[in-house]
Amino acid sequence: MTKNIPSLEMKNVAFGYRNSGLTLAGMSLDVGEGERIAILGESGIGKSSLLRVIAGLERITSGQIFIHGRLVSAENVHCTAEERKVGMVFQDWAVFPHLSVFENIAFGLRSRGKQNEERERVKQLLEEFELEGLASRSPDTLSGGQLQRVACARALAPRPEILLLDEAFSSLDVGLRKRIREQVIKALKIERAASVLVTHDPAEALEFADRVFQMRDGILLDAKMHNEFRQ
Amino acid sequence: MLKRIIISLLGSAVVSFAAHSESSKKSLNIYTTRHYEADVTLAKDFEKKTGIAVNIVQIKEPAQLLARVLEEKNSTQADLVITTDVGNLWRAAEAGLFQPLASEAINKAVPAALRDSNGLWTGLAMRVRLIAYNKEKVKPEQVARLEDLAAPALKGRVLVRSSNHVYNQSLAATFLAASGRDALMTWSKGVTANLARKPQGGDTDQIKAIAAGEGDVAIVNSYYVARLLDSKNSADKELMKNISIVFPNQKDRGAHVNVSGGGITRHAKNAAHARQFLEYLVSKEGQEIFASASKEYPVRSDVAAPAVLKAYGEPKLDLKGLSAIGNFTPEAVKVLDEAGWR
Amino acid sequence: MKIFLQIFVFALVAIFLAPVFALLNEGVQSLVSEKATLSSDLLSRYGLTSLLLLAGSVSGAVLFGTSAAYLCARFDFRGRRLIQWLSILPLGVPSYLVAYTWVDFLVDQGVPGGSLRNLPNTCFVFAVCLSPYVFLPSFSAFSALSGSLLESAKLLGKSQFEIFRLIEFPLARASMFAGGILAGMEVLADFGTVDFMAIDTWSKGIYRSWFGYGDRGRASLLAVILFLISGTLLFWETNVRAKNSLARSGRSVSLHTRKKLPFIKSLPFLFFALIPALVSCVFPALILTQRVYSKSDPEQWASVVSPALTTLGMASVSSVIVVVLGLAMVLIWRSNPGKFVRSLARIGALGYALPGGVLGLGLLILLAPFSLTGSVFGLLLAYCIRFATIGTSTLEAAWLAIPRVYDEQARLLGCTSWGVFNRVTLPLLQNSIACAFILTCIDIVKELPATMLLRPFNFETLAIRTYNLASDERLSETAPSSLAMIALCMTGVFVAEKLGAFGVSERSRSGK
Repeated sequence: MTKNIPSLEMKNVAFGYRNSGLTLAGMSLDVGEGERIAILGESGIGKSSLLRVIAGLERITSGQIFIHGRLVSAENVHCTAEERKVGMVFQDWAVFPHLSVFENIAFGLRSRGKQNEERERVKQLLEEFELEGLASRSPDTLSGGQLQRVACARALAPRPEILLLDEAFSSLDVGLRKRIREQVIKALKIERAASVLVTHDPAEALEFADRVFQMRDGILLDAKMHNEFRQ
Repeated sequence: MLKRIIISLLGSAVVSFAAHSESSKKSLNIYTTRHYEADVTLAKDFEKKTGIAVNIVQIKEPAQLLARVLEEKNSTQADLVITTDVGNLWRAAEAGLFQPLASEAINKAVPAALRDSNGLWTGLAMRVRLIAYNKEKVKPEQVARLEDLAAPALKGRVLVRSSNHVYNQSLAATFLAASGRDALMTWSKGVTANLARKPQGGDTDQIKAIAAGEGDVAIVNSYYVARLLDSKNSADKELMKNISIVFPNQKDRGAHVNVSGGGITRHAKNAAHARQFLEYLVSKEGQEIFASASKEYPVRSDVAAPAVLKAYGEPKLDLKGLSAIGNFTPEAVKVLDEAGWR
Repeated sequence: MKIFLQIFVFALVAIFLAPVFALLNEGVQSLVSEKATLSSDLLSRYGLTSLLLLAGSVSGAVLFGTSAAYLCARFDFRGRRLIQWLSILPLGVPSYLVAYTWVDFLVDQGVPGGSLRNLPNTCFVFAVCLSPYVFLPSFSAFSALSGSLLESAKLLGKSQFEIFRLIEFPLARASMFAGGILAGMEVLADFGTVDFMAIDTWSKGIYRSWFGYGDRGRASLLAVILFLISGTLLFWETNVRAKNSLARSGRSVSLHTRKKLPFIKSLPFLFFALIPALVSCVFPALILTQRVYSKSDPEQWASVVSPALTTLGMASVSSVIVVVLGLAMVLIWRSNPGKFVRSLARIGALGYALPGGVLGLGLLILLAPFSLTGSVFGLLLAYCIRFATIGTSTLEAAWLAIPRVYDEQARLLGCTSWGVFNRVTLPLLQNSIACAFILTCIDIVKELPATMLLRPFNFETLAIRTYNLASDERLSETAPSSLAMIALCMTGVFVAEKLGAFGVSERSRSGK
């Protein structure tokens, strides 16, 4: 297997909110193409901050972040969120209430005006997430599970390098969680996107990811390799 | 959606600016405090006759109007300023607002007492301040003079509007000019003591109050009386059923009178048109419209008084006092305030 | 880009405050010269009267507004929705109209005029007309109280009254307070009503100085003082609202169930809650309609068309500008969330604290050198300065209610700042934009003193027409223009309410 460029490389990244000290203190992380990573940790420890920094929603203090080999964050470099090819699913899904399911999923596909391509892409995602038939529905008529899938489909539509999941499954009940998790994993494989899941649930982390890290004191610890378990 | 907003905004702006842009037509720009049908009729008739378009800005409060035109200085659009109350005309003249009328026609038509001695403005229509009284309760002899209203016999029976209003302020000014400060103070205090209620409402309200029995005598303007008498509304006629009027001080100085008047502004761009309009207003035709439409007394001696008031006779008017109003008003207002006439 | 926006904000604030400074300048200059002027005796009388008027009116408004709000938020009964709607209705009628109509009507019925034009009655007129200012925030606050909180209190054995006293009232107090302050500002700014009712307020002192004594300087000083007091009230109200989180989001989610109130029991409260709407809207409309028909003169309607169109035209254009301004502010706040820019914008809101007449005077001084008095532009400027805050605060509140996540999500999906604004923020603000537009329109339709002073040639609005006729004691002839004004404003209130402007309708808001 040829060595591919990692989807994400973080080298010694430091980041802190003003007056709060360092949330990330010299954090390093590599995520290969198509790899799935989970980050565990208590609430408030900064797991979301990690994702926000990768997404480009915050600027880092020092260190470097590369996405697919391209430098996007450094002390004096900041590629804005809209220019990075990063998708994110938030805990409360944030599905746009004024747009239909179709329009939500198509949201990130704007610009080139290739309508047919756009339609095909959305259809494909609707299938991947078992949302056929809901295309013209309005978000306020959907259940939690459906909204979650719409959010994921939407994030994956523009073919991001990385998909970030911030406690994305936490609001769903247990039975649903497993089903959706499997759908997401399947879709990720089809899309060949890397992903980082942040969660407080160890079981979920283990089920979802190839590697699991724990976040403490601003760095990551305890990489656990689980590939052998799967085989 | 933002696009739609911007387009409609620009569209309306264009339309409203276009509507107010200058036309090449002959025009005359007037700032006036008056807002009566008579004035509208006069403007329309003038337009028809001469083809000069008349543009009007009406600001009810004379001091506001003067403030505006004075603030505008030499870039003002006003060619002609018309205002009620001679005090305002006087103030305007003092402030250098007017240019000489230089009109033979006006000099001939309007008696000297009713226009400015320096030829800066002319009176256009008059209103007389008179005493209305309940026919059943009061004899006309009891209220032959304004001074009679301070008499003890009328305690609790006198009605008048607030001293805030320029009608009363001008009245006090002529009183002051005629009889001096002490007399005015005594009279004001006397009237205030005789009041049936706190000064409130307008002149028509005083008449309504007489009809309702709140008081028996009131100081009111001829204009309101005439309007009630001439009204098509039966309720109005009912009001006047038991009320009669008397022109005060007929045996001495005459009844207090006040004029609406106008002058050509110093920086007028259409001075000739302004002069033409004023001449029209003091012509027989114009004066007749004042008498019939707004029921005001004409300034021309050869035009009849409003028909409805003819029954009460030809009043002797205190024309001399008219010229005193401007000078004496500030002092008069102070006296009124001190006397407690609210 | 940032610097450009900051300059823009500075410029706006400068324009907004310019009239005040013009007046201040006049006032200061007058201190130097000596002139016959208003005695300090009279001044203290005006001040005291204003104070009493303020106290009476605001207490009345709070009484009516709060009781109706509590009734509708906490109880369910037949006709509740109607009462809610009627409680907002007085917003559509200017208080001077209510005063004119009632006094004229009662005097015709034989009630002696003397007993009508006094301080208590004036307070009553203001109380009913301004009660919506208290009703709206109170209703919001009472509705937002958590059901479980109240249920726990019940389980602990507290009676309904004690619950109100110990829990509900303290929590909603801030909103009531804020509403009361806004009502107070309106009272201070009023001239038409107090003039008609022969009440000598501070505003009267300003006009008397300027017009009666010709003392512009002194009048300007008084005007600035009035503005400062009004401005203080406004700041106070903003702070009170900000501190109280219950009042903030403006969501009308009912987190509790209402107690059922049988119809019979509800009647006395119903009647009380109906007073504002009946007194300020229903009866005046009936009286005016009767007058119009008793005259049976088709001409009278024809003469109303032109002023009505002018009024609508000016109101629409100004409101569009105000809304655009509000959107611009939202854009600026988004990119400059710093406190400094925010507080600058608050200063701009002070335009609302300027009574129309005072603003008119200030603008006169300011615009004359540029030959802009009597221009449509000058009027537009006056309206914008005075009412811009309606647009900005409505939009700000609505924008704050949009979760930040939406913006971030949109950016992650490739939207630039402008794209986020255009594709996410604006669509979600649609309702609020319409509401801001309508609310501004309503206030402009009612505006009188500034319009009169700065009016262009051949320009008449409904408010001016009504005022001219009323001040010429032709009250019955004011009916057509008065009715037109009421119709316009009421339509606005109706539409705005349907769009959720007042948070009183029960429609579910879009978004989670």
